[in-house]
Amino acid sequence: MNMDVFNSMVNAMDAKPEGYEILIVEDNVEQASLTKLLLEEYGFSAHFVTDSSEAMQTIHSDKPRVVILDLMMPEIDGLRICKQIKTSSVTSHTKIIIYSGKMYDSDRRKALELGADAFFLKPARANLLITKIKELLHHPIQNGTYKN
Amino acid sequence: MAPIKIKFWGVRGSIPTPGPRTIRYGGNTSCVEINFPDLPRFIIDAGSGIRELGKELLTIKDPVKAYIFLSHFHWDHIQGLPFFKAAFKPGNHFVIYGCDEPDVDLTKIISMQMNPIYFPVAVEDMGAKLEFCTINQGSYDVEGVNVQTHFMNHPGYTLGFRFNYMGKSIVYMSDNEPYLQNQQSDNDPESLEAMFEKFVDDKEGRLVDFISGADLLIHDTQYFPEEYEQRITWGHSPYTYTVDLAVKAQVKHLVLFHHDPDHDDDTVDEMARLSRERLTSYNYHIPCHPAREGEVITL
Repeated sequence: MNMDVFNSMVNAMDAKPEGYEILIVEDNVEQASLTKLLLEEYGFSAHFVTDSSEAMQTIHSDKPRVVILDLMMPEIDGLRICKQIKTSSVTSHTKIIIYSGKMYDSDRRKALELGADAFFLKPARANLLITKIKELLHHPIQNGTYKN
Repeated sequence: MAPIKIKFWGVRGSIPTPGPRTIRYGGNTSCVEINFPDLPRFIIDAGSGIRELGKELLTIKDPVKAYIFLSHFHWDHIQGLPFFKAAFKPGNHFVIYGCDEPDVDLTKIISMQMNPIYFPVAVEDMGAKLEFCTINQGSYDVEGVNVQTHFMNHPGYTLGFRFNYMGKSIVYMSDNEPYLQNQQSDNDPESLEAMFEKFVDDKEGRLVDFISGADLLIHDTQYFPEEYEQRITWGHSPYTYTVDLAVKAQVKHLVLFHHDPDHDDDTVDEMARLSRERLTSYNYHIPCHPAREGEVITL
């Protein structure tokens, strides 16, 4: 990893843009900050939390439009958060992308049953993830390029 | 301190396999008992092997208390519970730990397999006191034993357990398979996209930390590598992965567990031979053998 990206990742840990669109819930701080940087590269504003027990409170207070959720996390697992988001009248409209290392069809089915809008296996193709986020946010894709 | 005793009541994966082909290693599904000195029994998983354990507990006059840790709820890990006679005896007390599902709690998961459609006795009609405790990935104190849990790579939420007590540690990972390897990226290697696409969370490193230095590792070895190639995403390991994990984590004793139902005793022996050969190739010399029903290991 080059130093510029590393420094950006370190900075990414602190910055919380006002009115951000996307919340990343991911217990691995490197994965979380790399995802945040990727989203910012494509013009999205994003924030992450690494402690899953903070996720619901953050979603309620910040009201992100999309949540990218890891599945296997200590404290509260991703499926439980997914269910909470989708069953609360305050947050049920929030779009959820599960981004997990779990490679099983049964886990994918379970996530979709609980209301997840998409499921990506780690590591995902960046362009596919960005395309899905744009679709969920209704961003147009211009002339075959995904960059904003 | 008196020794810790680990007894194997069920060692088979997927489905019970009685018969002459499996008579040496046994055909009952997963169940392991740990006896820490002067503590109630710890029981891991409730496959068909727990039935015989239950019969043994019935021979004890005094009320029995035990802790049952369920790694997950696939049939081969819970199917013995309705036949666990010790749980039908008033005065006995069992505390059942497991990671529930977001939409189904632990009590209901256990009750469901004793629905009248499937079994004539309801869980609430079992005479013993049953307590259900939901756990997740974390660290817990049970009777002074530090119980650490870690998610396994297996369909659904599946836990591995590490029991630390008086300087000894036992790790049980019955259903686990290797994580996917790093993938290639078509993007410029220096680009953020490439870094994102090639980033793999070091889950195996975390597993190695979880197992590190264990006095005993009981781990899934359901397949030979050539079988595994056909069964990736079935949630089980080839012996090669298990041996490599044991070496990386510097465990002191490796028990091959969750034998494939299609593997007869000679096949299990062959897998053990190859596992020991692999350990030797790393110049790593520890006891390594297949789990055998009825066997007791002393630490």
